[in-house]
Amino acid sequence: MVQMDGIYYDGQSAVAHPAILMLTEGIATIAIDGGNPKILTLNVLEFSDPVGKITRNISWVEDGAMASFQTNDIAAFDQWLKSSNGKKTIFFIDFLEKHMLAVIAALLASLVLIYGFVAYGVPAASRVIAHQIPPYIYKFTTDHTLALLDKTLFDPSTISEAKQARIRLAFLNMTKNTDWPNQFDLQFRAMGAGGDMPNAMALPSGVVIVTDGLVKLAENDEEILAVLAHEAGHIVHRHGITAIVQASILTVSVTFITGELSGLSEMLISNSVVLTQMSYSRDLEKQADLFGKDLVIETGVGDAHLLVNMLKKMENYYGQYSDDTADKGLSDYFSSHPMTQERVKYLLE
Amino acid sequence: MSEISTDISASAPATDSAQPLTEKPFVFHGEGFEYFKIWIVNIFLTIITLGIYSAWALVRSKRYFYGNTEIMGARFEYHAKPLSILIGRIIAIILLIIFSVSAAVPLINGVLLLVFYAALPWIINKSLRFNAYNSSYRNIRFNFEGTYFRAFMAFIVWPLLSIISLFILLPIATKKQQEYIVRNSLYGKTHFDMILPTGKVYKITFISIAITIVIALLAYMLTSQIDMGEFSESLSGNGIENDNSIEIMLAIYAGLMAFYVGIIVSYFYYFVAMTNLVYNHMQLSGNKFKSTMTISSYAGLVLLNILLLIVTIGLATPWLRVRNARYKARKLTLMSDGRTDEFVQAETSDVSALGSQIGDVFELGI
Repeated sequence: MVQMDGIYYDGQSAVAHPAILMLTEGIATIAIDGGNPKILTLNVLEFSDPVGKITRNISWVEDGAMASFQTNDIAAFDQWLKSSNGKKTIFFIDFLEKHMLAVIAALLASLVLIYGFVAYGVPAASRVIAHQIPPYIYKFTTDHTLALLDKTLFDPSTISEAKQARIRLAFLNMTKNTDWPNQFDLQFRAMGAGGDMPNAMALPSGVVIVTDGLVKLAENDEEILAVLAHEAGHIVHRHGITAIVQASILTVSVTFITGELSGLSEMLISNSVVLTQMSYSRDLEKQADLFGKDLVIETGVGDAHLLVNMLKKMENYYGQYSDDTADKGLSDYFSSHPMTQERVKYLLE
Repeated sequence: MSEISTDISASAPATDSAQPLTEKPFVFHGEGFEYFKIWIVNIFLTIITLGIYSAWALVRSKRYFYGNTEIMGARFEYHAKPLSILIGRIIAIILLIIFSVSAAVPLINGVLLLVFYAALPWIINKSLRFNAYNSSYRNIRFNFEGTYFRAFMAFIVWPLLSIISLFILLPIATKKQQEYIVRNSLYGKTHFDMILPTGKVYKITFISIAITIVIALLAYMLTSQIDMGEFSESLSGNGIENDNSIEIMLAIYAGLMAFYVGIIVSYFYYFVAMTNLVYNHMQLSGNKFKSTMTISSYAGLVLLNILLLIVTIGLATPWLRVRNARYKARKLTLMSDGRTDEFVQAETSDVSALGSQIGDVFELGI
């Protein structure tokens, strides 16, 4: 038998009635305002799940409303609930919450699982999902992105039609046997003041853009092809779409694990998602580098030195704007491309 | 907010003018470490159930915070059924995926966006209703009874008007939204009531914009005094005559930082002033509220929270939530007319979690 002091509410009005509840085998007796006790069978009572030290609640239907008895006698309430053998799951959770060892184990397990999920689960799942999305869907976003870049970043190329056609043909020849269901499309554009900024980029539907600056920087067509092979690697491995899927998965998971987002915590979370994305993209760069290296060798264009030469030239080009070490350290810290030295090292392995 | 007491007596309804009001404090009883244990077990179970437990975790967390909030000797209660939240979440995520994928096709995306805006008032109503209906105090449920049309006016028409008017009407849009939420909320059968003074909403908006501008200007004047050239020399250790990229970068950084500081300070001011304004004009039959938040105390709370989050890589989250709840409770007082017993329950009905979860997933922040 268990007896508890508490408050009775009839569920119709907010009037608080001091009450005493007695629980015995099969029967509950409740004395309200010191009046005559009401007798209820135990099976009509609904016991609230215990959480921390919050007020415990027992409710039942009375005159078409939910009446309730609320008590702060947590020990008596929980003791009764445990001995009556109900709510086993809740007491398992309660057990985890109340034992330091279980809490520490849950903490460590969570940290390990979250690390595994973020470092391996998310990239792997995103790769699988990205490969399921039919490439023709990318076409709309790619066209949109290219139009936007043309408006903001690019000028028309000044490379001669003949040279463009020659490089394009070589590029299509090099990539014709790759695992890519769409067409590749090579576009020439000028970028930067004077149109000599060297760059190359890949858009998800198979469009590769190369700038006049990069074409001029190369000593021969093979060096250009080595860079284009790297970009083809981004496309074949669906890196653009993978990045979008990764960001979505991370955001949704973080939201669900931490509960509702609000204001400044949202800002922190989106920043951490961006930082994680950056570390992913270093892996993606490496994958594209190695893909490009293999493609160049397989198709007889040349070897890894082509890309290495281009990387060094590009580093020199951009390096002339940031000669001293303090600045370089700062700008490279958040760069998504692995440092040139590191890339040269694994390319020549 | 020194005019609180005059506000309250001035806006008291004529019928209840005789009732003297007594101050009843809100008290939060939760403890950081106790909640930490609940939180970490929630996270652990959410992970090993691949997210399914998240709905149960949410309910457990909310029950902890509601159940530890006390006023006049009684605690609040949260009643939502985890299963209905889970179903709502699954549907919401499916909708989010459809929406994200459709981004590839601008036409379909555009149509879906229109559908979303047409459904927005419904989602907002459902969300407010779900949260209100699943909350109770003294075994009397809260509720929300907004209509589609009124929500459409407050959350679609007024924001559009504010854009068209080049944001001159923005404070009125804010006022309409706040009033819509409060006036359609009920405790049992009793409606909450609120009329925000338009002039004060304008004043708060103007001051917060002014704060941003003044801080940005001050910071600009200060940074333009610093000799960036010398600063960069001391950084790199050797003077480089013809390279000014670092100076430019530092100047841009300083300017940006100043702008952020301005925005954050003005956000603190706006949030504190608006929260006080809303609570100080809200009433529930003869009962009123008094909110005494100050910018310094709120800024201290938020800045320390951010520091704790960064230092503990997020593990301090449970303590922050408890700190926030304690702060909110400490700064809010009920001005009771002593007739608490007169509130009665409305007819019960079931409320689906769908709208509320769509709202959560699309981060409506209601």
